[in-house]
Amino acid sequence: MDKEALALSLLPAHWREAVGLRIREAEEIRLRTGRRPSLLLRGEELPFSRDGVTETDLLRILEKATGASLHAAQSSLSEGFVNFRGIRIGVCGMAAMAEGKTSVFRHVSSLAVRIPRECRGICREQIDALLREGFQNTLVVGPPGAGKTTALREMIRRLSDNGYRVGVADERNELASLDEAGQAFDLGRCTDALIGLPKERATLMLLRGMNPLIIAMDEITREEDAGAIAQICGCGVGILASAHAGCKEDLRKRPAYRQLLDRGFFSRLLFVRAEKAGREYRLEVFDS
Amino acid sequence: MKLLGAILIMTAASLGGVLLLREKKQRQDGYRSLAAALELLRGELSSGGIPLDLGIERAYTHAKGIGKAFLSTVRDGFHDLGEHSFEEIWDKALTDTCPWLALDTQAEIRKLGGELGRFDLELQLRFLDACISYLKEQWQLQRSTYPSDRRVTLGLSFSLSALLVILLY
Repeated sequence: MDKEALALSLLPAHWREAVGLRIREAEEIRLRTGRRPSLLLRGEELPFSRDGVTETDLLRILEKATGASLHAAQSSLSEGFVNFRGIRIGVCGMAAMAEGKTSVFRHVSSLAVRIPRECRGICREQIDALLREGFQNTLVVGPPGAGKTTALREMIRRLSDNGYRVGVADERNELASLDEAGQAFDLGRCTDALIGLPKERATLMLLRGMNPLIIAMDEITREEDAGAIAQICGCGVGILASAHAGCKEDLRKRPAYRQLLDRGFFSRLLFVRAEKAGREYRLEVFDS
Repeated sequence: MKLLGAILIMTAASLGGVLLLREKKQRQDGYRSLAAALELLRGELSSGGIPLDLGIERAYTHAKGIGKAFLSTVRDGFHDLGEHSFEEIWDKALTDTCPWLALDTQAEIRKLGGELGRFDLELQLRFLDACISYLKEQWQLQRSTYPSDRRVTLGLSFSLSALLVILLY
């Protein structure tokens, strides 16, 4: 499924032409008012047009992404992004709060269009090791933009194709990246994905209804997400999840993660790092 | 021959008057149809804040007449979203389907197009309510003046045709 073409379709025609074939390697399209639009390529932002980005450009893109329905995208906007057919678009600007949540953006100043990809064969050695030993609860760890979601997607697919029934709690539709035509990334032959629900609720539904051997989820960030994992443990179901952190020490600094590690929920950590030459993967045994 | 000519002139004038009246009636119905279409749209949007394209699709299904044609053109314009703003798509649909609308009425509907699809759903519903009220008022105004318009139009067309016959013959 062509997520690159979908991401390009958000841009006006003259920017689409300017980006051209470089979209195939781009990780993100970065747009900031007053700056030149650029592509994130191998960790570096490279401008693709001499024009400066205006707020009108950004609003036009958001209009396209939401089908001219910002009001319908409020719940995801309150989290700082919108989802366009499985593509996450981060939104920044001057926000206003109501009832403790972001209610509107008075001004939009930046957009980050993240291009999801299916990368078969990545972290092969690490996944082979997990398959050889028998699956152990694994946390995929890395800083933002390192490639955790892509690695997690490939792990789900490989485990699933090797016979593990995997239930995916895909709150933001970033793992499956399902679009309106029903097209999604291949998550494996034994995978069931629940998309668009909070992780805790999705986890419960998967446990009750889909008899999974492993439950996978992306980006544990909140206490509620940690609560979802606590639900799984003790049920005899494996956990595969991802978390933002640079290293083990960073994990311990966040209360939600510290609790998970101290209680021994994870016994394997897969570190993902983005280097100029490519991604690096390192699987470590974790002993709480 | 002169008599035949006179009859033809008077028939043509009367027919002209009738056609003019029919057009007026259609325009009157157009106001009502547009108001009804926007009410349908309002109903769809107010039930859970669904996306605008889905709301327009659903409202189109139940709309009739000019209102249906307008919503259909807006719906088709969604393919060009990105290249054109929603406001531009809405304006073009208005120009294409209702060029006969009075300028102030067009301005009112255009104003609505500039407010739909924003963050605040409640505000969008208020703008819809205002536009619907305006269209209904215009429809009522046209309806109340229609009987006198009819008399004047028919009377004028008959009088003018009679004058023409007298002048010619």
